[in-house]
Amino acid sequence: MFLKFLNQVTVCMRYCFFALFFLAINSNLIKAASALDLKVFPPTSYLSVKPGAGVNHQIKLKNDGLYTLEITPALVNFHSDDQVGQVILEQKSDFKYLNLDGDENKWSKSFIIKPGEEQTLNFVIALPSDAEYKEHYLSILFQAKQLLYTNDSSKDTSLSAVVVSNVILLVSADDQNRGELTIEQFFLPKMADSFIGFNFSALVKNIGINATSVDGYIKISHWPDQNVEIYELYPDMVLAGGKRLVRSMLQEDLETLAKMEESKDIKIAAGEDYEAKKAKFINEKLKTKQFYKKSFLIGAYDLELKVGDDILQKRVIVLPFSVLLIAILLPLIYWTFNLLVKSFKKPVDLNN
Amino acid sequence: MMKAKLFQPVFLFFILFYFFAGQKSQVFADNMESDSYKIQFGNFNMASGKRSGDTYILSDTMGGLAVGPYGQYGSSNYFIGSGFQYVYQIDYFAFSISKLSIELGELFANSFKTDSHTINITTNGAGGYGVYAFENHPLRMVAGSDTIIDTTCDANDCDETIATSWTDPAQAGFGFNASGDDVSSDFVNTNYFRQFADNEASEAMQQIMGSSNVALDRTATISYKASMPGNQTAGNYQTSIVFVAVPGY
Repeated sequence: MFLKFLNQVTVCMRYCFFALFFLAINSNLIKAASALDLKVFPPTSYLSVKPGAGVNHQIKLKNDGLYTLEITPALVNFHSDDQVGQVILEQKSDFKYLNLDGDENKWSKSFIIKPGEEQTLNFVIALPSDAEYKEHYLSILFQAKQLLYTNDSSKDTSLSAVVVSNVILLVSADDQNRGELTIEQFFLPKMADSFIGFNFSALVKNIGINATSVDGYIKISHWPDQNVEIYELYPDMVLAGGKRLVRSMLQEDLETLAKMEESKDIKIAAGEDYEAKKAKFINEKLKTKQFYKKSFLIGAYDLELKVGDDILQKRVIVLPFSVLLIAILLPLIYWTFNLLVKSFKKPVDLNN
Repeated sequence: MMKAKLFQPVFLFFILFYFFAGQKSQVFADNMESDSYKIQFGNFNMASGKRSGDTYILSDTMGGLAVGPYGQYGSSNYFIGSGFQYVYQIDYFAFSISKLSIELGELFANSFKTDSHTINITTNGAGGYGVYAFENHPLRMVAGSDTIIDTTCDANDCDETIATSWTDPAQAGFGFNASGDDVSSDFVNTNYFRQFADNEASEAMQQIMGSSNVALDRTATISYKASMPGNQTAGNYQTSIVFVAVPGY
């Protein structure tokens, strides 16, 4: 009887060990929860509303942290850095027609979000019929701090976070795209070295009245080949009246990315951190400043930048300047060296 | 013995079920993939119906679906011919702080007290991000009105916009260092410190971390350091620090 019991205990222990082993593996794969972990969706919205009409704009907030959070929403304007699409927050906003649940008094009122909880917040954009046709750049701020049930008499410095969701709101009578991009600057050197290569970048401006996305390419041609390389422009948004450095990626790299995506499931099944690998690849290849380099370049390289209907062509002359420089410097160095050797040589006394 | 034999495969099944079923990564957004709608240009709302209000007719943006120029799951129509549909899919913008209080303990003259934590960001998009920081006021004594000024570093040349070397505890003050992914370039090494922008003095919050690229699990360590002037009362000093995480567009 005792032996039977002992046997069952042993079996149980064996399986408990087995279970703990798998639990340990599993827990290693799950990231430790942070004290504050707040997620917002969408990060940026593009909305078009007619005067006299309205729209319900829903934003999801998820608390994946350890503590219950007290969230206080606020609305401010933002402006662009006019370079890379960075949002620069302003102190306040005088835009009155975007409110949580349509109630303007809810801006300063906080609400609670428990750990693991997701809340969908309904922001009502309701425009008066005489609203000015204009694009508004708004940021909804969610200030999150740990909910304290007792009086805050802590001796420690407290930390809190503000997470932002941007709203680019166009007040327009119709859904017509009135964004228009022009080439502001195309940065390209006039001359470059054959062994070094050259870099290029472009700044575009939106002269239209609403935000629009970049569309076009940068093509490098070198006689006799008309299409040596083609860089596709990434469809980044440029705000009305704003500027932005275009990002581009080689067509070949886009094809590589597509192939990577096709084999995504296999890579994930093989335990590969696919998303990290993909992010690394994108960050290496999708750039505002591209660098063109081969083992040896020579002659004239023509670059054609096309953004929307605007086309600009520029040429860079590539010669082996470094070789020419060495060819000039070598005899000079040799001559200087010989001169120095001669001057240090002891003069021969002919009388002895 | 029979029971034990029956018990073994059942137990094994549950363990394997837990292991394989439990491995699924967390998915935060509803999978509402669509290739059916065509996005004409950046400014749009995906109206899914209309609601009658008191004075307005409201249409819905469907919980923010298709709220970027590309659609949440990369509506392929937009990208015909370009291949950028694989670059990213708009998803949650996530920001986390590893802990919510900084314990500098009791401060004494001419000695440093330090603490640190990490901040982490995932944009799930190619629009980039910026993380800014500010303090509500300089370090202030918990029971009293004494304050510790924000550090000016060893050579009195750092402020809220620029970090410089701070290794001498006789240079009293309070400051922070940032190290890790995408931190501002003025944090040359872990001895380089900045002041926090002081909200009480209406100083503008300053960027401490940021990128215009895809940000996936980017982590920075924020280290705090304080030292007290010799003529000041030893004790506990505190303030509150706010980190602002802003997605790019």
